[in-house]
Amino acid sequence: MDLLKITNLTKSFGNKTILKNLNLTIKKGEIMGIFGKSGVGKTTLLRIINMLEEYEKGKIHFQGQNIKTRKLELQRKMAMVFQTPMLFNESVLSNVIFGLRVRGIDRTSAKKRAEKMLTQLGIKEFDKNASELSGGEAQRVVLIQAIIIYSDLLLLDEPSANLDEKNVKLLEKIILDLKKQQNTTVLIASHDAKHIKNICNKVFCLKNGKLSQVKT
Amino acid sequence: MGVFLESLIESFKLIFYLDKEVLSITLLSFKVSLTAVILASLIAIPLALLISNKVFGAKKILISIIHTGMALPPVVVGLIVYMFLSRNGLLGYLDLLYTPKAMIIAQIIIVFPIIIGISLSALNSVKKKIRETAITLGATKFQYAMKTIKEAKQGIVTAVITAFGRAIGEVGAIIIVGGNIRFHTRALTTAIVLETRRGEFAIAMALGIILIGLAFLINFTLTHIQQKKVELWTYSK
Repeated sequence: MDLLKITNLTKSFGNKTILKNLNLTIKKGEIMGIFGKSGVGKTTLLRIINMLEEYEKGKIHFQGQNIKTRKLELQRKMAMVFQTPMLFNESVLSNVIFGLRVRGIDRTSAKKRAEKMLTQLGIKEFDKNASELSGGEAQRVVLIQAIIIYSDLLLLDEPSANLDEKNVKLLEKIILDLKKQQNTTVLIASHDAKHIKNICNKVFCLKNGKLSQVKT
Repeated sequence: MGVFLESLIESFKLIFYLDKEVLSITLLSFKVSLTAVILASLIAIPLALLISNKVFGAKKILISIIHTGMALPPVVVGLIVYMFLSRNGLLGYLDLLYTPKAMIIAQIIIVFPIIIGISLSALNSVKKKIRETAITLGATKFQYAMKTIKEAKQGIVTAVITAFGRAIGEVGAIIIVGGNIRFHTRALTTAIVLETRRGEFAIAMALGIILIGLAFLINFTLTHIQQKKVELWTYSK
């Protein structure tokens, strides 16, 4: 079964149509990449899938259900990482466990899982305020914040934008491990085709509001 | 200088020996202002959150009205509340005039725009992406609201501190609607006015010291809350 199916999606901002009758299907376990220049609508597409943005025309089905009908239930099966890392004004640990706590997981279990993941990714100061993190550390923390909830679909917007080469490699490893261990489906938007070609099964180019496949 | 020092010593004696009337005045002031600030906060903070989240045409006009309300002259508020509560007024049948309840109503009207105005400004400063992070991580509407309030906590506590300061030091409205009745509606500020007119400077000074002390105590407690890491009740479903 298709995990995500987008049919004839159209989105405009004022007079400018960003996405024109766009179609996309993602199957469970796929790692898909979308690249294109800045401003072509990659972020908008991810935001629409994550229900943060309205759209005028088209249909989006996630796990067979229209995303407009069962918002919270479906939203909880996805997680999105924004291009600019945005963390709550609290400790690293509290940031990471937020997604687990809102799902009713008790603090002790959430903390245990978070500490394990943070350690694996080289973040040791759990009680440090998130505002004191470096750019690379903050990017890793937002990623952990999203992957810790074991979502079915992970949406990554320009995940390598603030990372150096070493951290990009680490990010690629995390994504591949997720796919191996959880069979997580990942959709990555990037302006840099090179990075996403390394790890994606399928790569699309977004241009003039439409997607064209460049790698199968 | 002699009169001042004499009054100061006398005032400390009144405080130290817990003068019955001074105690009654202090407790009434505390009760009226605290009740007004709590009730106003319970309505103003959620309303500020609602306004902050919504996009609507008249938003700028509404915010301008709120900001104007922050500068409401207490005497005018007192006059309007008096007219509503007086025997021939619209709410005269409630028989609230010259009661502590009337004083609370007047103070709610005075502090409400302050709490909503400053809270709104604090909530608006919470970045859109921070709010969206809460949503994308699966927060319910209630959890999202609590998270936004938590992010704006410092500004919201400042709103409450400012409101309490305004309420406890206010005299114009409560003297009109409360009537400054001994052992019934006499508050710290109204008593200071009365005792000064009578030439009872020691009592007036004692009340002044208590007023400042009370304001300090509340501000200290709220500042402590403001600076403290608070685990809000965000996670209950």
